[in-house]
Amino acid sequence: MKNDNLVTETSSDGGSAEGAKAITVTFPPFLKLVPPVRQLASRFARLGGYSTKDAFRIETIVDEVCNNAVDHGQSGVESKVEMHMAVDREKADISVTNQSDPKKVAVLKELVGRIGQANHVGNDDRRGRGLALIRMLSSNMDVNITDHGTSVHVTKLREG
Amino acid sequence: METQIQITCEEIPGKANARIVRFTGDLDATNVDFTTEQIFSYFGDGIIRIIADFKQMRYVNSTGLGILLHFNKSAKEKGGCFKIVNLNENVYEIIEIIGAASLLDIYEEMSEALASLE
Repeated sequence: MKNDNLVTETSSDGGSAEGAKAITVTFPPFLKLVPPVRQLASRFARLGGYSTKDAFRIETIVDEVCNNAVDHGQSGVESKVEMHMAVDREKADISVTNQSDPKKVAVLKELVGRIGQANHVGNDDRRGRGLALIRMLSSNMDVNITDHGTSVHVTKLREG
Repeated sequence: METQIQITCEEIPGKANARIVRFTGDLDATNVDFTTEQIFSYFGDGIIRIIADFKQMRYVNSTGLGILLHFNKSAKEKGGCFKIVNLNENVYEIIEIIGAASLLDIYEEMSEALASLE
């Protein structure tokens, strides 16, 4: 997968007991760049020994978090979204950070505030399930919203 | 660089307003507009009973799930249906945990979905 818009760095801490491996991808905030990022995360999880089911869940988490980062952050080629993922034998830690758009911060805070409220899915709501899906697929999720940027950190325990 | 998705349509003998629509690839935020145009063009042609074959559908995210619910609702409003068959287990899990499994017409086998059109 070659894409000039994605900047990728990988690292391996083979000397540690956990043998953690990490990857960082930086890309401009365009929705069309999210699929290769999520697919890279899935392959990285598989390389780390995760099952296809866990890798699919991780792909979904990365997809949803990155889509939100693009939708709710600054737009334009000068901005960037950074996805960092570290996997070891027990868990995958995923962090996604964007650059805040001041006009969108209030809406984003409201959306995050609604996490955990009614799980009912309406028949005609086309958007708005991403955060709930991330929460249900992950073991832990933290969202930190500032005027400079929003960081979402998700931990997904290995299941298979 | 939208995610690849292919949508093909196949007639069902004896069912003038019904089609099997086969999806191949990933359904996500990059191709929901294309997918919506395709399905609503069928609705516009009077094809209001659709069996969506997801045998070759690898991935659906929350945005894709949203338009599946939209297709289901729109088809019913027109007196038709939007049935889904051959979901892979990973996609089914996403639909189930988001609470949408009971809102969609999901069948394991194509034969069951076809029989339900009778």
